Amino acid sequence: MIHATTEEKIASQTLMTKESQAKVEALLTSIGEGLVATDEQGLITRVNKVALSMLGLKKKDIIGKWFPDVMIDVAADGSKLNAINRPITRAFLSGQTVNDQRYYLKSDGSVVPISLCVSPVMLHGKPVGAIQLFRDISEEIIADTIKADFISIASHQLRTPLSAINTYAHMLYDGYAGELDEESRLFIDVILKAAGRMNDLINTLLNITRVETGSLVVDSLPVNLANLVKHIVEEINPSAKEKGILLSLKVGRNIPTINTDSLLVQEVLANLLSNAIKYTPKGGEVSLSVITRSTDILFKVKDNGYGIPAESKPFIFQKFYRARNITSREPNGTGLGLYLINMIVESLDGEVWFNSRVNQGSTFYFSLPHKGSNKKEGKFKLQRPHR
Amino acid sequence: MMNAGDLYTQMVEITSRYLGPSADRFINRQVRNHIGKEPEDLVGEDLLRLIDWIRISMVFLTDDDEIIREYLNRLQDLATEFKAT
Repeated sequence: MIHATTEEKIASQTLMTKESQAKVEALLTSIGEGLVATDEQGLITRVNKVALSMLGLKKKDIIGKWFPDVMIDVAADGSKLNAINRPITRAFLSGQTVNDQRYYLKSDGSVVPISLCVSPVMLHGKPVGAIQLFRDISEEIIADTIKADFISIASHQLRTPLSAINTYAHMLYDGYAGELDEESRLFIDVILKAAGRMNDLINTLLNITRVETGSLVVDSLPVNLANLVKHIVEEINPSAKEKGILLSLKVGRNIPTINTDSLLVQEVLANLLSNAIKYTPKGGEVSLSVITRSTDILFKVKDNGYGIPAESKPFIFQKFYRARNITSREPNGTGLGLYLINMIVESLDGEVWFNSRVNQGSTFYFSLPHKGSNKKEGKFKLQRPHR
Repeated sequence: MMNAGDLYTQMVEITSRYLGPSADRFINRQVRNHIGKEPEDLVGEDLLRLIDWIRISMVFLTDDDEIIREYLNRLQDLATEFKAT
């Protein structure tokens, strides 16, 4: 019987450790995306070649360095962003993986657009660092810009015949070509409603491309939020009444006037309320409340409708997504409303989130900071749909 | 007698010395996401559990170890004070 000596055992274990390390290194090198990992002090402990290449750095420039000093988050124009809004900070605030698209500053001063996924690293239930994967999406952005331009041109081209349909249908309805019987009026009503829906869809598509390409104007002017919510409820109430839904409003004390974009705030609230009404059965209830908190103003839209299933929740703000329990009940829908709301809220420097239970209803929250929304230059203002 | 709402308020007050107006949002998120409670239901033991998350969030906001240590010590003292009552 052969017994390994202590030295042989140590040598064997050392060889196995080196092999394991080599395999881990091979694994990291083979990943097609950039990888950066940190310890619990925020210092970078691992980086792969793809990450180094994307950032234009050498390994010695990055290992042991503080993450925010190396992975420099900037806006598209190269200006630095608030630390608390960084995806990695949000990952630790939420304890969950954060997916985002950002721009990083390269070593040569240029800016690279990236799509990233960052997660806390957990050991025995405690956070011990972070791991981030990211990839260069320059080509995708070019493709998106081309797509956005196409949608914009196509939408404008569609407006012309739609305008003719609306104008002449209204003229027929008003009797310009002679008196109409009841049935004819009904038919024209259907035409006008369909044209209205098409117009709304074109507006939504245009608004989305404008937000996605950063060409949407965000004003920052004094807005009396208490008056704004009253106006929105008055606007939406007819559609609630039509469905026998009770729409109520509660305005808290000391709701301030803040500098923001009135049109965009109206659009967010109108969209949330319309959704609540749409996805609540007849005779249900929808409420809008607004309160002021220490650092923000919180709007709450609550309904007792169909709710959102658990498996749909992570996707609810994604483009074109509609929950299964909704598509069967309400086949007309584009899945763009919440996506647009999310993007508008981000451009207002606010936040939107929700909770929901199937068959019990949903509550959507929308907050705006007291300090207001930053003005953003752009080419186009939001087009609000006809309601 | 100290009530739970006081703990949250004091946490935000301490945090605001380091994070300014972002303090409320910072602590609010930590409490909701890591403890799963409303801020007014927070107790001393919860804060002790939160400190690891607060620490690691702070290390990505500043590389000033002294500031982080000072801040966390203040929170630790606060947790002890509320645990004892």
